[in-house]
Amino acid sequence: MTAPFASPGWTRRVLHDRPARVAAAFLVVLGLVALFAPVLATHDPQSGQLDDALQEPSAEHWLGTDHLGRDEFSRLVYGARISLLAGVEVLGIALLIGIPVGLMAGYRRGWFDRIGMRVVEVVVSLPALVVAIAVVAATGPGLGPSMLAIGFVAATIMARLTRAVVLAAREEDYVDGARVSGARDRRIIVRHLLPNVASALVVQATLLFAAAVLAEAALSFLGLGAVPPQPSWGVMLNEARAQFEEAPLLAVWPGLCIFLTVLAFNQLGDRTADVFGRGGVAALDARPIDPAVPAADPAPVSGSPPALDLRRVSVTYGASEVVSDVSVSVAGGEIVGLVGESGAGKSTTALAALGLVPAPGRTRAGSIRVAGVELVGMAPGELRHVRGRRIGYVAQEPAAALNPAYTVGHQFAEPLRWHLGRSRRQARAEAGEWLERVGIAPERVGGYPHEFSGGELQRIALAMALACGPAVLVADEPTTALDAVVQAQVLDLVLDLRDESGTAILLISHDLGVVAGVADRVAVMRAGRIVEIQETVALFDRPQDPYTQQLLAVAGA
Amino acid sequence: MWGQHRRGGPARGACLAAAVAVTLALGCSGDDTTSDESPAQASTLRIADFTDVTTFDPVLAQNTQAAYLYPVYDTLVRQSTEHELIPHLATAWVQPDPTTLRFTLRDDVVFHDGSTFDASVVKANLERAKAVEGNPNAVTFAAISEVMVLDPVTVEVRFSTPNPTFLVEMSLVQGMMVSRDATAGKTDLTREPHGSGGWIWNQAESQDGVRQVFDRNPDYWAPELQGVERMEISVVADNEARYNALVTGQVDMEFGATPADVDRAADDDLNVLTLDVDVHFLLITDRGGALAPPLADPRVRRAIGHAIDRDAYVAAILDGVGSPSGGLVPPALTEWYDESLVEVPRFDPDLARALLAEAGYPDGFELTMPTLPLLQTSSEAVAQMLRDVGIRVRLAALQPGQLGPEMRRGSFAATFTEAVQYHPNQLLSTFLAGHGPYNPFGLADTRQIDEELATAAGADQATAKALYADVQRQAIDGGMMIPVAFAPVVVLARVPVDDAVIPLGARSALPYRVRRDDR
Amino acid sequence: MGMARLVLWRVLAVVPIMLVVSFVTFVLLSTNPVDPAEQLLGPTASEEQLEAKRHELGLDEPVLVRYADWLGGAVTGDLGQSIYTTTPVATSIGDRAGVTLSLTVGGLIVALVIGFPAGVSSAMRAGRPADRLTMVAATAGQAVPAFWLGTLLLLVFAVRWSIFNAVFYVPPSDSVTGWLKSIVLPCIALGASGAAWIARQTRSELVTVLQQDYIRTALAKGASRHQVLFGHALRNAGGPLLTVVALLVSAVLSASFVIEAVFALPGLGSLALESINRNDPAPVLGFVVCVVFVVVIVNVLLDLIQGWLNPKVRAL
Repeated sequence: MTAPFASPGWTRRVLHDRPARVAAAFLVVLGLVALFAPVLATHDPQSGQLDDALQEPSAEHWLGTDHLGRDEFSRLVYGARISLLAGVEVLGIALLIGIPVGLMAGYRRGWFDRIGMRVVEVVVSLPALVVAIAVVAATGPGLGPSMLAIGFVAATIMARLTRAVVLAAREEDYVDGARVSGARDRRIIVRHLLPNVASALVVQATLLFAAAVLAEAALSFLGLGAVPPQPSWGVMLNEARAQFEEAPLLAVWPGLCIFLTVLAFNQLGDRTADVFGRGGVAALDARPIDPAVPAADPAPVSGSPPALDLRRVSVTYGASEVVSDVSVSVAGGEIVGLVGESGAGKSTTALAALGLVPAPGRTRAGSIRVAGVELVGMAPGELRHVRGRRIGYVAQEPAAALNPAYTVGHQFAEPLRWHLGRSRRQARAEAGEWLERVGIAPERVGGYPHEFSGGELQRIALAMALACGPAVLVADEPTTALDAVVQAQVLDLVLDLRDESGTAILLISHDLGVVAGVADRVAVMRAGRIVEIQETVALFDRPQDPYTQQLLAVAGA
Repeated sequence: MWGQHRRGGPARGACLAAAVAVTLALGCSGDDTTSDESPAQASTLRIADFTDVTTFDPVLAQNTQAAYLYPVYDTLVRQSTEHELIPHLATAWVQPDPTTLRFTLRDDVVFHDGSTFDASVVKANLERAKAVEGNPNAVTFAAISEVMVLDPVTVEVRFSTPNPTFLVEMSLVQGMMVSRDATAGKTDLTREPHGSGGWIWNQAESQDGVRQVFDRNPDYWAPELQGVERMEISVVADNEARYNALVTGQVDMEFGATPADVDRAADDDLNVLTLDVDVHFLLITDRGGALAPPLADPRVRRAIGHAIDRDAYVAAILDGVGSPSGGLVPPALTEWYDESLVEVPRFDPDLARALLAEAGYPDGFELTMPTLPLLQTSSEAVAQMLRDVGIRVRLAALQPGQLGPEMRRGSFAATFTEAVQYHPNQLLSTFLAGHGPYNPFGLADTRQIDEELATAAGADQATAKALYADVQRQAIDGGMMIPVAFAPVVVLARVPVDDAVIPLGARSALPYRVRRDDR
Repeated sequence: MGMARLVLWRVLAVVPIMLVVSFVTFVLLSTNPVDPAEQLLGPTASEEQLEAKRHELGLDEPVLVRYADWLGGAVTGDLGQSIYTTTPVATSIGDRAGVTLSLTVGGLIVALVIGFPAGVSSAMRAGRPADRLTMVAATAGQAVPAFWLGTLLLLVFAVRWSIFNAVFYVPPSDSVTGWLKSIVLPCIALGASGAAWIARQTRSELVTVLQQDYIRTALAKGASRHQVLFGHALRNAGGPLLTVVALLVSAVLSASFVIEAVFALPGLGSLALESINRNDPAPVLGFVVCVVFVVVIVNVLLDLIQGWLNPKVRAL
């Protein structure tokens, strides 16, 4: 499920999106039409002269007349009322019943949750039409009862969604904080949980509304829903079938109305959902790294070329430049620390080195060389041969970095098979060896990620990044998520591995202490730029840039 | 350990190609759906009916379901293409006095189960029909006082009061003869017919709720009536689907087409058979004003009559097919149709409004009428016409099967309804009779009508016709039954229908003499 | 939880679910004001005759007793019979189940074969024009009522060009060509909006998965697009997508009842509608119970597969 929480101002962001604006505008107009139907309609929708049946559009009848001589336009206008009312009824029931039930179940848990959710699961899976048929069989046809039945099913959908959102929200700090400060349950629910739940529910509500309009049309088609002479769009669609040869347009108008209304609701829901989702997708649809303009300076010759050489790297997201003109190099066997506040662009720089800046970000560089291989201009299909083989990557959250559905051994073996051509058995054996090297029993190679601790997983991730013997390792906050003892273990491991294999390491951290203990040189980033690069000792002793001085002061170095 | 893979891009192309290939293959297999048939089956008449058969027992069946029964059962008499009564199981009949009918029967009829047909069989059937519970046509047999077997080919039926409709009813389900073995053995005929008709029910190939199949009876006593080897009657409830079935050639004949289909049938090269016997009318039962006080005033009821524009109704609702004639007896009943009733009542909305004003309702009044899904469009049209003169009609939707009971209970003051009429006495007595089921408010204003109907029952044709005309005038002027239009029962077919008959009283065509010529 | 426990719980849960559903439906149907006795005996029956008929039909017993009777029969396969035709409901349902099965499975196949690849390729190109176009098409496709599409398809491909059947169902045992001719159009109409929905849901689930850290890890290890998609993303999206498929089954089943009316296919939907129109409660009850039972079973199966896919559950 996409992240359920939207930052404040999400309504504004939705309205910025043009398709959403158009859809919302259409729905507002529709609502007004339904509200002011008596004013807008040119004729009484239920009266007409039989002599005027099936007339073409004219000045008198803008959309012509139907088979009973009634004005088609007026019927459409009143039809909006009925179709929207159907949606409102369904949505109303869904919200009135579904949300409280979901809130209770998600917050209180316990027996209410268990039993309630069993019921919900069953009802959700019931075909809505079957429920409607059962209800109508008892009450007779009519818009009210059939929409009631569908509203009931919709309520369970709402309940399930609400519960899921509440379950996730409960774990958030602000709820704990509120509880600690003694706030009563109801207050917590209303003031803290409900606003966040609201954003996820808006999306679902629009989709439910659309479904209700469609359901009304289908039920009326079967003769189970709105009953003539109520001019619901579904009824009009059904009546028009018999007239199809003589007056095909009669079938087009209500069909078009249903179609546009449902489309608008769906679009609105989609766009809103997109706003909530995390921006961007992993670079599955990768673009090559573009060359910077103007061309980069020629490489300064000074002995052997560095293992990782970033020259004039810039990353832009739309109009904003997140990384500006960054140049840093790491020699073989060297550890370079990259520090700065959060948001300085450190992680993005790291991803740029791998060509993994997620869309819609664009990377531009004078030169990015990994073990002498130029990445700028390289096709994405070729870049993947560099990743993992020549440059490895370790990220902050070890538990999230491994796929929970596959064993550790399987995931470890992947790069070995892809890059080094090992067979499955060989790769698995090698994986076991690596596990042993990082202090984990080799038999556990068949275990799943959830069976390991955070520290163990990070060690595995490190080993996996180095499995193919890359010249460079990029470690983005590798110890931040771990506790102090484990941190030290992992850092020791990094040093050991570097000593063994001579890998160049770019270590990113916001923790100056970590960097101080391990790095040979340190680069300080601020707002996307590198403000200072120095030997570690020199930087800590005599920081030259005022920002660096501030950082050190704050850290109490 | 490895995940399940779903097919992506390359497989999609393969699927698309497969789909195209299948479509081409189907298209190239020819659009003539009859090409799969063997020569022996070529003489199969495939029919689409609007309703399903609920019972194979003629005594429990309604005439709307007769389509399934005519192939397997023989009736006592039969209707000709001119709707005259001609011999079938009975070769001749006489009426020595108004309360007696004597039939002479065939002696060469054998039931499908082997038993023979004779006068005792007729007696058993008539007595059974009178005695059984739940006979929708009970009124036909109610007046029978005695059935006498004079000899194996002569049977005499005695009535307590004259029963003028009996003879024509003997050509409908009421006249269908069930085999002696079945009646004697009290066989349950709901699922299984036991008749003597031109076709024998093929249980093996019939499918409940979908299709009934009948094979030609090789020992039938009237082979000239058997036009096809086999009949298949399928249920297609939806009107559009039924028409499509006919147009695409998947069936050869359909029952229950609407008047609106007649026009497009001509364009689609189909043969049309119609019979204007469906009476659309307004029934006002609350003439005492118990539920709707304004209806107590006869001027109000007359106003309602003048508000009905029958020409517009026929043009718009019946698509011009049907008759806007006045009176309550359709023109198809040529013996009884009275020309003088053509304009009764006359369409005159101004007069209607004037009458309402005179009665004290210058702004009209509210009226609730029930309606059924089947009557939806017609009811709306009538409601519209009434609204035009100020009577604001609200239509209350009922479930199928509820209209009759609700009206008989007196839940509503008036209703619009349709009924097939095959004899003037039939509808008039059902709906007007003071002691009949449609007088829930216990009114006594039909005494003269009752007397005249009783007299007409026993009178000669000329006298009866005049009496019926008078009854109609009283009913219409008194605002009891107000005609809206006569609608046709429509049968559409791809086969020639020149020799086909829609009997008065049914909604389907008789199976006799319908041939399926190969095109 | 463990696989064994999951299986046990899920399977056992089916019983109370069916009990509740059948009871609620039974009570609901018994509130219908139309009197079956009066329907059968007609207007001329006397009050005693009606009473006798009601007694014969067992209608004068309290609701709980009638339900218990029905339940007793139901567990042995006797679902009662139609008031009018006395055809056993189980027979009616059995005869018509094949039609509904063909329709539903066909519609599902159409929906999955079209929708799933479309959703996957959209997710892979998220944000790009191809993705937007596909999603707009999908959104639009979902807005078209299935019965409307069915009517259009019928008019074009069955009436105007007689490629397919306009009405009737031909069982595959009779003729495979005939069978195809009778169900291709209805299945397309059914599957179209299902495909649109599956495309959107697949894209949405896949996009979520593709935003996870382990996808980035895989890319950083040097995985190709193919390897990421098939080796990681689809596996993880499989679970949530099964939930989507379960809902799709429900939706297609529902829509099949409406499509039956358009193409005059004698499936379970038309049984229910005809019975409603005749005020014949037993077939309606049988219909509801059978359909719900099938849906519940399908959901249980998909639930179990989902559980199996999740290593935490599978590892007992």
